[in-house]
Parts: sequence; structure tokens; C-alpha cells
Amino acid sequence: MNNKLRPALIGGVTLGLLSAIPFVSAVNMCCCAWILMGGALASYLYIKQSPTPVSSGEGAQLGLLTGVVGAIVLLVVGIPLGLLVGDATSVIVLKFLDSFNPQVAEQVRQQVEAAQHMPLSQRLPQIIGSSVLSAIVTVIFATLGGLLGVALFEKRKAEPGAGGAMGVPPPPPTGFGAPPTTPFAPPVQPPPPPPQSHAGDVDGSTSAEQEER
Amino acid sequence: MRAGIEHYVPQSGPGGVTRARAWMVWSACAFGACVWLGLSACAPWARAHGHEALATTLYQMFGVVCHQLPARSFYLAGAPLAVCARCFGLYAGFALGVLGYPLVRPVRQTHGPARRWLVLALLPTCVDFALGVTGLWANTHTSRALTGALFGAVAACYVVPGLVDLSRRMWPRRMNEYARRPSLSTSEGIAE
Repeated sequence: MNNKLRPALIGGVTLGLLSAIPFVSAVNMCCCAWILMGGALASYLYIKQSPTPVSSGEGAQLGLLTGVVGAIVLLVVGIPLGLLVGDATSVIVLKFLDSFNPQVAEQVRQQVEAAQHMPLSQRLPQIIGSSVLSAIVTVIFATLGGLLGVALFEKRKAEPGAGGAMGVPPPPPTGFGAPPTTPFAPPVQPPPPPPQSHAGDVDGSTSAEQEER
Repeated sequence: MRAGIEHYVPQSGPGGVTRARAWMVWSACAFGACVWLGLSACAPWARAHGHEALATTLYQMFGVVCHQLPARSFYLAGAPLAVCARCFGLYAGFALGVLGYPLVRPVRQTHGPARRWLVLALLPTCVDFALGVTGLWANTHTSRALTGALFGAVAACYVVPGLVDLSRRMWPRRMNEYARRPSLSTSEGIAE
């Protein structure tokens, strides 16, 4: 499994489930808190397992992946849950709003009643439409979460040669800039040593023979 | 004749970021931030001018990211904005931060500032929120918007380099970009 996929799956499933479950998902009203946290969680898990410092671009990549996974989970779990327990949820929300702000509660009640009287054939496209919008927002905010997660959790400093715009590139391979060699040429072997008997003079006699002469 | 050592291009990493690409990423980010901010302000305007379908869609879209309580929102044309005062400040600060980013840091930079600045920028928002929740101090629209704007502006300094780095990783520079260099494309160029 890709080393980025595991943290992205964990973060994505976490944010998708938390954003789909009624009431728990209300935390998202606070600047998409679950979604940002999902992206940041993926970054945190990736930073923990990475032997080298994680860059902000990697965090954004992770956040993007997390957002895609989270959006799929949100669509798969959120739409059926919305259809099943949506009405019950809105009753409880209205009770809560009544105690907080009766005027707003009245406005919301009218909207809820209008939605409840709508047939399913009309309600379904609305639910799907809002879910698709949620999915897009999820991907955007999870990317931001991944990015900010790296900024928050990555304590190690990137090496200067890590490849950034200002980074120093790694050294060239040995032999770079050397004269060209024939491709696929057989390895050059050193010439065999000359036989001992002919090691002396041009005419083939050894130094001992020369002394005898 | 072979290229000199100074022409070596590392093959192991995704390569650097061209100036044009960095500006393109910045432009996209600035455009996105301004559109997002504009849409949040567009919802009440649409409602006031009778574009109910557009207004409903926008309110519904921003309902995913914000509680939209009218008591905690700025008003425009007699209707609340699509997001609360804190979120509006956050988005406005982010848009301003992105627009002003090239004045503060080089656009080609792929690393954000030290993380202590992000934590420090988040602190006022947390304090404002905590004081409001505990009832120690009744925060106002202005305090919520200003603390949110501070965090948004600082967050932009981490988001822009991150997106520039993301573009470098997702679409690495192709080798033909290097081949187009005059000094490498021809033997005459190398001789120069």
C-alpha cells in the first residue's frame, strides 16, 4: 500500500463518518472543524511514519487524498442517513433553537415543514445536490487541513538540498561530463603481462644472457 | 562535445518551480479566495434583488461550513451574509493575505514560515471564542471578524507556498523544458 494512502484513508474515513453522523456533524459548523481535523490527522500520521521531513506540498497532497476519501464516505453514508433520520434530527434541532432563538427557530421550522411536505422525487435531487456541494467543500477544506497540519506538526527542518525552489540540487553522478564511451561496449580489460622469458631486450635475451655475452 | 558540470539537471527530485508557474498558482489561489469571499456576500444581495434560487443555493452551500446564525452575522441589503462574522473575517483575511503575499515573501518559496506564527495567530481567535463561551466577556461582531481575519491572513502565508509545492509535485517540470534552453538544445549553444 502506498505510504500516503494509509494516513489518507484513516483521516478520510474519520472525517467522513464524523461529518455524516447527525449532531456530531454539527461541529462542522465551526469552520468545517471535522474536515480540517481530518486533513490534519492524515498529515500527523504521515509525519509520524516518515523518516524525512514532510513538505507542505506533501501535506496538501495528503489533504487532497483525505478529502476525496472523506467525500466518498460522506456521500455513501450521509445520504441514506439523511433520508432515514433527517426528520427526527430536525425536530431535536428545532427544540434546541427554540430555547436559543425563537425567531430563527420559526424560520427554520417553516423551511423544514416545506421540505417535509415535498415528495421524495423532489427531495432526493435536493439532498444529492447539497451532498455534492458538501463533497466539493470537503475536498477543499481537507486540503487546507493537510497543509496546516504539516505546518503545525512537522518539527524537523527540511535539508537545504531537499529540492525546493531555493534548494541546492544533489551532486551529479560520478563520471558526469567525462568523454563519451561507446554504448553497450564490453568492459575494457587490462592487457596481459608479457611473458617472463621476453622481458629483457628486443631480441628476446634476458639480462643474465646479456651479461654472459 | 559533452555538457559541462554546470548543466547537470538532478533527476531524483521533482525539480524547482518556474517563476511563471508560481505566479499562476498564486493567481489561482487569489482568484479562488476572492470568489469564495464574494459568494458569501453575494447571497444576501441575491435575496434582496429577487434571485431567490441563487440565494438559497448559496446559503445552502455555505451552510455546510458555518452555522449561519443571523444574530452572529453581518447584514447586507437587509439580509445576513451567508457566513457568520468570524467566518467572514477569516475568509476576508485569507483573501487579503493571499493578495498581499508577494509583498511579504517570494512567490516561488515552497516552505511556509515557522509554525509559531500560525499558533500565535490562532491564539486571539481561541481566546475570543473561549471568553464568549464561558460568559466572561461578550464578544462582538468586530472582535470575531478581526481575530478571524488575523488567522486567515497568517494562514495564507502557509497555504500559498504549500500549493506552489503541490503544483511542483503533481506536475513536475518536463525534460523538454530543459531541452528548450538554448545552451543545451544545440551543440553551438553548448560551445557558448
